[in-house]
Amino acid sequence: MDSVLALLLNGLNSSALILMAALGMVIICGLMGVINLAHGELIMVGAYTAYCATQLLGLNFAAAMALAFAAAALAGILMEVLVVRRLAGRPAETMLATFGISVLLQQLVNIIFGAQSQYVAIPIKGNFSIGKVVVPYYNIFTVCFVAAVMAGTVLLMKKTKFGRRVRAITQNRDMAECLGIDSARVDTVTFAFGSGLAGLAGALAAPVKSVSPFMGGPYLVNSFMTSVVGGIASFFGTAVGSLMVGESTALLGGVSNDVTANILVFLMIIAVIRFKPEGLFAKERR
Amino acid sequence: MKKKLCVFLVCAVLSACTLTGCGHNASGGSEKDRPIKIGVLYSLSGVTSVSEKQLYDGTKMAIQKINENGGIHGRKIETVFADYASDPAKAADKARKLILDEKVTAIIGTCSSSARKAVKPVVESYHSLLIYPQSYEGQEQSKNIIYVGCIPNQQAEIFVKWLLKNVGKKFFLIGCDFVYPQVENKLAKEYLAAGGGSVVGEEYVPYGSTDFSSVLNKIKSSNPDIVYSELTGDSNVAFYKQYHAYGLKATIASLTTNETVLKSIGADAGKNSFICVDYFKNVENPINQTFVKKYAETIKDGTVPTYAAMGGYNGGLFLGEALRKAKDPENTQQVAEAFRELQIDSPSGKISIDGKNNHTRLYCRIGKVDEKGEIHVIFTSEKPIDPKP
Repeated sequence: MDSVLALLLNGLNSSALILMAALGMVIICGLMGVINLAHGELIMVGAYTAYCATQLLGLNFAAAMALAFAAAALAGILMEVLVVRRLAGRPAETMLATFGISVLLQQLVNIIFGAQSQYVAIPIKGNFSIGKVVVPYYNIFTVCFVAAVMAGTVLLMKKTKFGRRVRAITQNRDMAECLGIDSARVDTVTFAFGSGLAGLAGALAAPVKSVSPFMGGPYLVNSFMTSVVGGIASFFGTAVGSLMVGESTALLGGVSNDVTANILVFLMIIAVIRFKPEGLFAKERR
Repeated sequence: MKKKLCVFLVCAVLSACTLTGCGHNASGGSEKDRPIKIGVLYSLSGVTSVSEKQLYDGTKMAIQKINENGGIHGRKIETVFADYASDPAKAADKARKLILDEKVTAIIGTCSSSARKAVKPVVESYHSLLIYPQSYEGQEQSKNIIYVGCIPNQQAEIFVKWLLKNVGKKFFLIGCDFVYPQVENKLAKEYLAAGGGSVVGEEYVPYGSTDFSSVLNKIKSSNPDIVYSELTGDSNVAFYKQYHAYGLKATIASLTTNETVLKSIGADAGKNSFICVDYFKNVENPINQTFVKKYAETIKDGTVPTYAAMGGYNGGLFLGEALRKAKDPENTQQVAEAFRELQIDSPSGKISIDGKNNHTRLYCRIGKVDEKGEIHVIFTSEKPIDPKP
């Protein structure tokens, strides 16, 4: 019983990290319809910014996270203005171009920093035990932080004027433009926001995972999987999706081993997509 | 008309470039001064690039040293570099190109066992030579491969015995899910059975995975004395960090960690763990002290020499000696034979190639990590150990 609780708690932490990485994907892929294969590299940019901020500039972790958001958002703005905007409505070309950008970013970071993993100090040390279950304090921080970011993002999208504009453009771009919304500018800001969230995910993962130039790949795969399972444009769906993926991986990993768990979780995702191709909580589209 | 003119001009420029490119091969110089071509096959991108950069740096330093000291009877070694981006299929492809198109005498390279196993049939069928600089799981031999890294009977066997005597009896085995950790763990189980130890858990994580939550739970509940690890790359870094965050108490004993990994995880996470390989930066002998200084001057990226860099360096030094010993340094067959019982004075000690199996007699060293992240060499084998692959 203790170990099931431990697995569930640890699965919650994995789910939180997966959700954080997938939130940006929901915005960029779900709301904007852009398939960004450089998503993993935006996460990597956030992680490296956290490294530079804490180790090279000596700033505290909160400042590092803010900088990570800003750096990734900046990268996102550059990507959107220079490349993505010109390939609007052409998914294959967008995929190719963003894949090229991902390779570019990987090699740039490899050349500047080297391929070795960089050290980012964990901001909250220590753990506590409930019986045989150990929970690091940083894990609790991760879960709370991601929940807060998710709540903030949903509020942004549902309650603010900016959020209304984004949703209007998603539903019917032409009509939104007729009503005076500068869709190009909203696009850039939205893309920047999604990228910034990816950067936050990188900074969050940096103290407990590895910060290296090629770290982005698994995050990209996980983000896509999670948001597709949950419903690509639905925040709630993606949260459910990440819980599903995180908890199943943890539980199955505890019962058998991580390799089998991975296989079974992928099979589960394939099954969900097979029977509900739009995901579990798909948004109605006209 | 204008379009046809443009097309003609572009074609003319392209042909001019190609022809000048072809011209380079016909450069002058007498036969005696012609450089000897050696292929260097490492990944500078992709998952194994961290280790391979170290191998590459070591090899680069060795070739530079050989060329500075007069080369091979006055002829310089010219390296032809090929990057296989951590993809074993590409490694085989690049090896083939090096042998057939570039006509290299030998190739130094590859790192992971998957890449080596992909290149093995290529060097065997084209009668070329691969110098493999990395420590690996053994159980392989080839006329066309010289293995310069340590194998289990020089590393794991001694390490397990030492751990049983000095640390504890209950082992939890962990590794990434591919051939190297699986074979090492199989052998570890044999050594433990022979030495009176026990295995309380054995886990494999997907290659490149950085999420250890379920594994850490299993470690906690099985309560081992020692966590015996062959994790590599990002997985290794993430494991130490998360292990420390979870506050687990068993000692980590690794076959793969090195100075670079320790820098990535921070002093807290690596404290009091053990590592067993054939070389550490802190090995105390005059040749190594000179080497570490030269490394800092040549490789200016903030890293220090690890056992991987030493493997690349030893491979390069051995190759240089073999090329000097062979009558015709461009005859791969003669060079391969020249490796037999070849001995060099390496920073890791006086080591030699065992002609019976093309592996290297190496010292075994065990290091303990202190609270500042430095490795102290606490055990060195009396003499280099004969390899038994």
